[in-house]
This record gives sequence, structure tokens and C-alpha cells, in this order.
Amino acid sequence: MEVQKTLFKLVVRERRQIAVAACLVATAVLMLVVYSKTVLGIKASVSSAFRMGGPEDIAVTSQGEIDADVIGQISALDGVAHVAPMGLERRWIQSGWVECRHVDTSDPGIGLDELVVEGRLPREPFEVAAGGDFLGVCGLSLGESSEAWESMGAGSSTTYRVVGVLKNTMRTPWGFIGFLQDQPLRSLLVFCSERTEETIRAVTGKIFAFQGVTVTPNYAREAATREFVPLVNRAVQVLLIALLASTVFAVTNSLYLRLSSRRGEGLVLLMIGASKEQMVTRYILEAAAITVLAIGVFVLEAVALRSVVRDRLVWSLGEIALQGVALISGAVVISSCLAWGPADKEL
Amino acid sequence: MSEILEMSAVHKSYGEGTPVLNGATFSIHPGDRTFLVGPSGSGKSTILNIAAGLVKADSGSVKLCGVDLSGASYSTLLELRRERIGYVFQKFNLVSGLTVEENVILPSLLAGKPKHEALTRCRELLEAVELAAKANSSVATLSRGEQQRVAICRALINSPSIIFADEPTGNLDERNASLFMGLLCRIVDASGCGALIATHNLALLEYGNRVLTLKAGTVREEAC
Repeated sequence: MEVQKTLFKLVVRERRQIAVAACLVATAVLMLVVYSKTVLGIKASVSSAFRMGGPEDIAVTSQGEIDADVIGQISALDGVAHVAPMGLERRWIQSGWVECRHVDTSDPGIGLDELVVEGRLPREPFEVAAGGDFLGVCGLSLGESSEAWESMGAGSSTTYRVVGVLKNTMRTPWGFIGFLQDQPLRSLLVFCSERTEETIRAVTGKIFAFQGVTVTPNYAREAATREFVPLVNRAVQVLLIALLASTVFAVTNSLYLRLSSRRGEGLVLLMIGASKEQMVTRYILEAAAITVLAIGVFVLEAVALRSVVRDRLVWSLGEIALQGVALISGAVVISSCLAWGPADKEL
Repeated sequence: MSEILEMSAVHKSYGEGTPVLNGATFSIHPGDRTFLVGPSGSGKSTILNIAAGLVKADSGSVKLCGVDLSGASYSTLLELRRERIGYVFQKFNLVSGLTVEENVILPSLLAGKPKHEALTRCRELLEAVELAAKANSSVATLSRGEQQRVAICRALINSPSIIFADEPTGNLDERNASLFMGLLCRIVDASGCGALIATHNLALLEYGNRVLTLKAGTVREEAC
């Protein structure tokens, strides 16, 4: 017991390193959640949608004006991801997920006013209208700024279209709506702009049933954001890449020092009589400490991101950073866990 | 007098290069304060590592406290490291997160000895090296000389049969080096253990009663 206490002191001594590791682990976990909710979901929906056979598989929405508040709610639910579906140039795709209920599958012309939508985030469930049974609502925006998409949330809006209504959604253990890959999807309501619609047409050569839905056009704002936001995005991305490169360098450097230090320390401990089992115990203690801290940090991060980062531009930039951090944290944790190996091998 | 360490015709090479040891033969007895001298790269550390069971010889015989190291199991080597060997490093290699006292008793705790016994022995040793007042200080706050004195206490906590010291004064100034060597000699004489001290500092040889010179992979005893 005494030796374990002493070994645990060594663990506690590295509390700063443990705290950093815990933050990285928590961030990585959070990133996985974000990733699964956005990128994976979008990939599934986009690829599935493009695989659809034709209008007969799709319940097409009726034309109608989408209530700005509804769009606002949907928009507020958006995550941001970047994927390259169907060989398209890597572009920004933004998607919102909400749960819908009560679709009347016998009626292919379900209108938005027949939907009941339950938003899972960020507010209490809200009701759009009665009669729908949609299981998913997806917004697509290829190559367009998040500002343009967000303009819908502001109520000023632009022209967006209900692309199609897809079916066969499912809820995953992560709590987001996924899609059955091997079946045509029919109960996903897809919103996109004319520009996106044109892109999809150009790439796929076909488009599932379209019905235009106009939401109080604001072309001026759309045009402005199209020109301005990509520039900002590009600038910020460059800065982020520079930041990430610096971070990678710093972390790699500290990782090297950490491994060197731990390898040396491990060797000394072994030379003064520590056994393999005692060394393993030490690393188990450290892993436990990291895990406990990581859970706490994860909760804090998740709460903070949910309540603070509502802006999708920030969210998307944060996602880039988080993905980089996730990669780094994986390397840190795995390397730390294996650090005792070289020292032991030397003996 | 029985040997604590007996090396006979030990050969060691790293890779395909020139042999580091080429038939090294010598022995250490209780009470020996043996200096192993030779230029950098001559194989002093290799001899220490082989003698301590950290590195295996390519051929030859190495017996430590009667145990043939070439055929010793992991648990036997572990027991030797815990009970029979004290090791002093050039860079002290104290565990920086622990206090002086915790550093000194760590080998005892690792060996499974009761803490109160370890503490009693620790206080004796710290008094002997005049560091009792700093028992609860962090080792990071100590001077180099003090750190090396803590290191010798750590090496002695389990009353080893032999102390291996690899350039123990390499990081000390002249005054602290002299103080440390005087201390080491007194402790060796008092405990009756043997000591094998690798160094390239010929000024330290006055503290030994044997000198081994390592040249071209062989060990030759010099008149002291």
C-alpha cells in the first residue's frame, strides 16, 4: 500500500500533464460526438439521397411558404461539417437535424404545414403544425456561406427549396438521426438553395423531386455574404492551419520531452527495484486519473459549446480545431500509456 | 574473502562494431573501494551495467553475490536490484516530485519493506550525510551536492552488498566532489559493502583502495 501511495504521488506530481491530457481526451470525445452528429450524418444522407431511384421513391413536399420561425429553429439546430460527397469539391455543408412525427405516407404531397417537428436542440420541443410524420429534416448548402444559411434564422432569409422528403431514418445510440444505408430514404426533408440545387443537378445529372419554397427572399444579403464570408472563412482557415501547425509542433516537442523524461524515470525506478507490476500499477493509476478528469472536462466543454457557440461559423472553425486536437490527444494518450515499454525493454 | 562481484573473460559488442569488452576479468570484495578508470567510450558504463544485471554479456561469466547473471531469471535479477545493489547515477536521477525522505525510502517500499523500518534507516542515513533537517524538503530545492548525498542514501537504504556509481561526481564541482567521495568512502567502510566507481577523474583515485584500468576492452589492476 505504501509503495502504491508513493507511486500515486508521482502521478499527482504530473497533475498538470494529466490535466492537459484530460482536456485533450475530453475534447477528442466531444469531437467524436460532433463528428458523428454532423459529418457522418451528412455523408449518409447525401450519398443515400443521390442513390435514390427517382421521384417515385420520394414523398414530395408541397409548395408553400416556410415560416421564418420554423426555419430559425431548424437553422439553430445546425451543426457544420465539411465533406466531399460524390466527388464534389470539398465544400461546406450545413445541416440541421430535428425530429418530426406523424407523416402521412399515403400522401406524397405533404406540406410543411402538416409537419410536427420536435426540436431536440437548443430549446424546448416546439410544434410547427400537426399532421406530419417526418423523421428527419436536413438542410444542404453546398459552397455557400454559413451566413447565408443563417440568414434564414434571422428571418430575413433567402430563397431556399424543399428538395425532397426522404424516409427510413433511424435513431442511433448517439442520439442523432441516422439513415439506413441500404434502403431508399423517403422521409428526410431536405432544404437547399437554388445554387445548391443546381450543383446537385450538375453533378448527379438528376434531381429528386423539387418543389420550390420561397422564404421571403433577401437576395442582397445573400449576394453580400457569398462574396464576403468565403474570404473571411479562407483567412480564418489559414490562421487556424497556422495555429494547428504551431500546436502540433509544441505538442510533439512536449511529447518528446515527456517520453524522454518518463523513459528515464521509468528506467531509474526499475533500476532501484521497481517491478513490472509496480510500474504498470502506476500507469493504471495515471490512466484512471486522466479518465476521471476527462469526464469532468468533457461535460464542461459540452455545456460551454452548447450554450455559447451558437454561431455556425464559430462552430465550424471550432470543429476544425477540435479535429486537430483530437488527433493530437490520441497520440499523447497512447504514447503515454506505452511510455514505460522502452524503459522496461532496456532491462 | 568471498567475492561480491566476479567477472571473468567477459566479452561485449554492440552491433557489428569493435568489441567494447574483450575478455574483461576482475572481482570486487567487501570493503573494496574500487575505481574503474578509462577514457570516455572505453566501456566503463557497460561494465557497470553488465555487473548490475542491466545488460547481458555476449560471453564470459558474471557472478553477483554468488548468482550467475547469465542464467538468472527476471525475478532473481529484480531481487538482486532490490536487495543487493545500490546504484548512484551521474545525474542523481532523484524523483523530482517526491521529498528527500520519500526518495530515500522508495527502494525499500518497492522491496515491500515496512515503512516504519524504512523511515528509521532513512533517518540514520540522512543524519550521516547531514541532511536530516531537509528530510521533508523537495529534492528540487536542493543543491547538486545535496542531491547526490540523497542519491547515496537511496542507494544504501536497503543495505546493499555492492554500490555501483557511474561518474558520481561528474555533475559536481571540485569541492562537492571531494565531500561526496569522502562520504562514500566512510559509508563503504562502515557498512562493509563493496563499491565499483566508474570515473575519468584521476584526482578521485586517492579515495579508493583499488584501481582498475579499462583499456582496449580489457581490465588491468593498477597499483594503488
